[in-house]
Amino acid sequence: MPSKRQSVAIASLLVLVFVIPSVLFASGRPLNLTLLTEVDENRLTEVTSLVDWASTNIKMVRLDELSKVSGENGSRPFVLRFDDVRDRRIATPLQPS
Amino acid sequence: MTLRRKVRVTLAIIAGDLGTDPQLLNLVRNGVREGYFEIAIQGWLHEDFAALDETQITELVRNVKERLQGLFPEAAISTLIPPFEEADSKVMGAAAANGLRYVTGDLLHGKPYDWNGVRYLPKTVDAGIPGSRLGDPWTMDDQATIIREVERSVGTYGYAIASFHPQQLARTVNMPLVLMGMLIVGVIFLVSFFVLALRADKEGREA
Repeated sequence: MPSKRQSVAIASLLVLVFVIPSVLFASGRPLNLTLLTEVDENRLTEVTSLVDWASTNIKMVRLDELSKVSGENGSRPFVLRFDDVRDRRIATPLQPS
Repeated sequence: MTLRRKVRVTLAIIAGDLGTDPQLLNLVRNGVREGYFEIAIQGWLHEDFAALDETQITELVRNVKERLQGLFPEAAISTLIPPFEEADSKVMGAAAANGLRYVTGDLLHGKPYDWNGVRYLPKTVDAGIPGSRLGDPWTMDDQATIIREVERSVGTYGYAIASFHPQQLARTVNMPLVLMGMLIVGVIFLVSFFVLALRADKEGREA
């Protein structure tokens, strides 16, 4: 059986671990996480299909190639800009860029 | 790790958040070497450039460029994508001071224009709705909608720039539910410990 002092210590620890995060969440702090290491395969398939369409119907270029290509007759340049590139890990999502 | 498709893509890199994953580094390096990937600057830690003056932005962009050049020696870095797409005159000045040739932000900051040797090329297609605040899930439009927007942009501006984010391709964890579960478990533990402690105390006094 834990002593009274041990119980208080354990209770304090539990408050720290469970209650404070809940209060923070209730107050609107950003605790909603995105698991960046887990890819949503459905969305990835959508992007892959888009790339397949673009490769066939339009000219995919890097942004640093855009000015050069834009002047070409009949060119329909498309830049796929992939933002917020960083190491894979669990992290809070960044604000829009 | 290999590329599923070899397509030309511009990667906006958060320099301070990249470099610890050797697999990812090698993937990007290979893409750069083969000419598919362009390395673009998107801040050290996605700073809000609106809160900085031109000197601070210039210094920051210089540091980021040096780091990215160190990580990707074969890359010709010429593009700045300011975080939050705040592409104002300070950002254009910082880009020019660092020898960059392109800045891309939002259409709100103007249609394509040239300024001191730097070309401004705004993004013209949003592939979804970003989280409105930190922690909100990001959405992604369906393929038909994005294609329609790309075609519209090409018709209007002669080109299309669409931005995607990893947050749009990642699974989200429902933290409110997780926290609620943690709270319930925590409360049960708390109550149990207090009951046990009080009972032990009472038994101790009675003994």
